[in-house]
Amino acid sequence: MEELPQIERSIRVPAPPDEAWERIVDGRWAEEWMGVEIEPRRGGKVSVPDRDVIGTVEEVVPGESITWSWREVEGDPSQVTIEITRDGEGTDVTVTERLLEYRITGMPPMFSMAA
Amino acid sequence: MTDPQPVLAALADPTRRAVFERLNFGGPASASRLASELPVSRQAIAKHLHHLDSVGLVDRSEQGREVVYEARVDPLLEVTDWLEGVGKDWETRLSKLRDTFD
Repeated sequence: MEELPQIERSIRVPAPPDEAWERIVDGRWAEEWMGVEIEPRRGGKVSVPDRDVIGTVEEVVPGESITWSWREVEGDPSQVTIEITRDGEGTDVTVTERLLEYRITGMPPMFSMAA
Repeated sequence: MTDPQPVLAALADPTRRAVFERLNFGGPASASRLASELPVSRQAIAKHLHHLDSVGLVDRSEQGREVVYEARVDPLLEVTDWLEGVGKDWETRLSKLRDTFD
């Protein structure tokens, strides 16, 4: 079993998915609540004002999800996915952020090879 | 918040991770013992142990003529703290998102 450190947080917003989606991918909205600037297309830039963060959009599924990876200069890369799903009159927004270069394995491959 | 970078970088190397995990799951061992169990030269093992020691992932103690290494998981708990910080950041951001609908 491999465990890749990650966190997941969700919130429900009182608006339909298309409105929630707009607040994620529209630059002005995104900066207001997230403090992050995103070019919402594959290969688009992700940046954080006043911080040395380098990021790239990896995937956009319009109206559903956006994934980017980023890291602080000198820091470890992590990957963020924001996903939205309809929930009655509202929308669930879920963020997952996971570290990309770090694994604790239950059974280390080299050790089991030697055993 | 502790920067997990050195710990993560230390464990990003597969061989070094294997050495750490051998110590963590298999218990304390000397460099020679590790070299006999892992497909890695004693010299390479020594280098990896030195690196692990420098980020606090192993403790070394002298037992007779041997130096024995033991895994330390505390730095990994710091990684957990760092992740918790990342989680709190997102909680704050998400409640701001909800507030934009007020």
